[in-house]
Amino acid sequence: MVVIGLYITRYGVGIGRYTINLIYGPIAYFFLALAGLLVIESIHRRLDVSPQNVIRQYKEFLLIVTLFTIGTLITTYNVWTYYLDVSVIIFIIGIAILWSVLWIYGVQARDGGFTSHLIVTLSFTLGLLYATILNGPQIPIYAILFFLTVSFLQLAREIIKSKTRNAATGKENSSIENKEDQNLKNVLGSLFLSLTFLIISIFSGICNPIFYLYFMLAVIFFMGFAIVRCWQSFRDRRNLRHVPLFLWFGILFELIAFILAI
Amino acid sequence: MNSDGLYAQPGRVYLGENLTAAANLSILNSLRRIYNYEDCMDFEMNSLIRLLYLDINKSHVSSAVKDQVIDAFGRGKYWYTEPSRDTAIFFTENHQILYHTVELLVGQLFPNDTFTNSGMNGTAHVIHATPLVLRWLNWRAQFGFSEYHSNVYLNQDIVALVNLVDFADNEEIATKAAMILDIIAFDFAMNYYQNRYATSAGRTYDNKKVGTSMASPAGRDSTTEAAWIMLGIGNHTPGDANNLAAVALATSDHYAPPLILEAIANESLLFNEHKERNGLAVSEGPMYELSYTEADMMYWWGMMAYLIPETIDETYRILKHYNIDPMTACGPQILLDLFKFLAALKGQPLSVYIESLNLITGGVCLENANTYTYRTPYYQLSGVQDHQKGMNSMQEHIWQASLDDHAYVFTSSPGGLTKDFDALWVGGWKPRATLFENVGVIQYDRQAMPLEAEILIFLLNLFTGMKFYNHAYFPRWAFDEVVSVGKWTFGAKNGGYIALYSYEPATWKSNYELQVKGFKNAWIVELGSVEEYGSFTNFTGMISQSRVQVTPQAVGYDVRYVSPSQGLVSVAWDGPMTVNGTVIDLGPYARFDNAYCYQEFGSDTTIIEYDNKRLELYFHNATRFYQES
Repeated sequence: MVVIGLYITRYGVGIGRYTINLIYGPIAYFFLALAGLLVIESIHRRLDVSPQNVIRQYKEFLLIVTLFTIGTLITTYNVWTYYLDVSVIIFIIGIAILWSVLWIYGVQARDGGFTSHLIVTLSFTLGLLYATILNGPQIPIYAILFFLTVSFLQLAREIIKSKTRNAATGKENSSIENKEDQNLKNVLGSLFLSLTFLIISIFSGICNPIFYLYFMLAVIFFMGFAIVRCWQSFRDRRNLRHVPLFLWFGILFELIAFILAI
Repeated sequence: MNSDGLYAQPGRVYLGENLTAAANLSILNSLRRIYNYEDCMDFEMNSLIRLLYLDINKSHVSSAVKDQVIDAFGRGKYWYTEPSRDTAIFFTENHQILYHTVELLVGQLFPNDTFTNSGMNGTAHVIHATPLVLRWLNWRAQFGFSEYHSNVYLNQDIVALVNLVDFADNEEIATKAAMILDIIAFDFAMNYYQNRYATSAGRTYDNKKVGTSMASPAGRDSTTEAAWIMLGIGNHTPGDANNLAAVALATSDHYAPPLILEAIANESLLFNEHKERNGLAVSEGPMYELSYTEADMMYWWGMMAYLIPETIDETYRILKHYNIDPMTACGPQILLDLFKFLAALKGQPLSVYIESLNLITGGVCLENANTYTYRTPYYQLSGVQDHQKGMNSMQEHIWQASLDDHAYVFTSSPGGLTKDFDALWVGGWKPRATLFENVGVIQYDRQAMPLEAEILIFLLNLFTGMKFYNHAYFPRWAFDEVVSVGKWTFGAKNGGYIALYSYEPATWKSNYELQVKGFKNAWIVELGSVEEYGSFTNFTGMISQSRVQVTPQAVGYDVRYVSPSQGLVSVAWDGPMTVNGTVIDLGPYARFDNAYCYQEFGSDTTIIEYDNKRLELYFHNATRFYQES
């Protein structure tokens, strides 16, 4: 996502800075994202109250901090050496706050499931915004719309994947059926939001709307299938079986659409 | 006349010598190109037509050879509008005048004979060529040369012009051709340094700019012999006996540069500051009543403006209408088809789509070049100011700092679309070069392009020599002394000194190449001499201690350099260049602006004055007037 983010905001940036960002950006964000993914582990470990977890929690916390610090140091070096805007550092601080808030929420609300999906999603998609800020402090509107589009789609996919995994391992049972219905509603909501931002993006001043349209239609096809299947799964959960795969194709075509749009 | 090469033979005839068997063979071998309509047959044709004219009423060329030559001319092709699809290139600025000239002169010589390819007789060819010749001459008079300062192609222009002066029946053509020759001679006087056309160039080649050792220096500029004949500058070499322009000038009874030009050339050896402008920007066409239709397309094609929004549709139409092989103009057919395909895919007209590739398709255009030259007895700094920065170039050479024939320095950023894919020193990505007197700041960077262009450029760079760097030509073998201090590299030669600064780390790749990884860099050059600094040690000490502040920007840099000789030099990627707070004129320049001539750009009157001499060139009524009071 970092590479895509850099690519879609490359105009107005010289090839020299662009190349430097291509080198440092993905590396730095890798550590920031990894720290986020470890936050999920930390949440789950906190939710497990067994005593032997205390030392592991401490080590995990240190690892999260170390990884995040590495990502921050690489970013800071890039900013300092190549005179990037200070908004990059502010963005990093924002990610740190976000991971912290989500950790607290996950632990306090004892909701490791949804929080995990959110963190996984944002670990993937925030890279796009991070990259746009590397190229310049002003984030184009289409970049924000792309971010929202892929985030909601990814979130929907994460929830569905989790559900199909649970169904396969037999974790689902009728006692939490209401919660499963709520999850499905969340998925449908995410898909509709993603669809909305996908369509709005074509009007956001992108360079190649025709190219974008071709792949947007493909994404709509895959998302449409997913929406129908999700709707049908209220009656029969087995309808969810191929939905993650379709959403994966949806994300793939969405990323291609982003690349060709600019 | 010690050469049996084709181009030398008019010299033999002029001197009243018969041609040798080897010379005859050279002539006959050259006819193959003409029969096969091969590229550069016009070079041969101009030499051969000169031979025929000089041999009129003489018999130094045997009848058998002469008959063969005449036969080849009779079957020749003189313009792209004639039938046959071939590899001949008609469209560059020098090819245009070469073909127009030979068409006119052959038509004059054989007025009643029918030319087999065109089906026209000689008189019809004269009628066809006359307005084309005049058009070309008038364009040069008003706008200068798109192939500005070319150390290769001005040589071809000279032979055509001398042929016109000597043999054209049309007096207006003969006079205007002489006037253009005067302007070329003046250009040599302004920009030559010792034996080198030591300035920027619209079209040149690696082998004319780069030498690897004293035993293998850069090739002699093709124009140097002509400059020596016209002005007495530089030196003569017998090895140039087969030089097209030199032989034409040496055998001309009707053209000699006015003495004022030789006087200026000698006077300005010690000091010269010169600005000039050559060529138009594409957008300026309507301002000078040039359309983007076929009527004026040769101006645009002459500056390689084939694939730009204003001309692309007409280019496609002309290529198709006349069944022209696009490789002879703007590239392979598959490339043209790809552009059409991508435009259709994006739902855009071709002229809108091609705008997105402007860094390449616009960059290769030889648009208005504002060149600056500063010369002292010890060095010359010359270049084209702030010219299409960040754009791709086929063969341009942007700037040069010269201490002598071999000890000169310049930088380049190879890659992209170049005329020769193995070119490493000319062409490539153009910097923002900003020069003032003895100091220059040269920044390399460029903006991003559409995905398909970036992929193409990446693959070209990858497979044509891993061109992911920028570099400096700094031939250590040519200098008396070379030292490096920090980011500075210094050279000394014959009392002249040069200092070159690289913001990014530079390493020696050979005894003439300083290489820097990446496409972005800022170079600073400063020249000095023993008169200004005393010893070389003092020069290196003062320069290396001077303050340099280079701040990377999103594109390019913000450079602030405290020069020991000039004070604070400040320039960024955009915006003015200032020296001690004074804004430096980076153009657009007048056509000529120096101590001897001031001519507004676009005007067709050139007046050159020096001492008690005055040369007046009035193109609008073909009047060439010279006086010494």
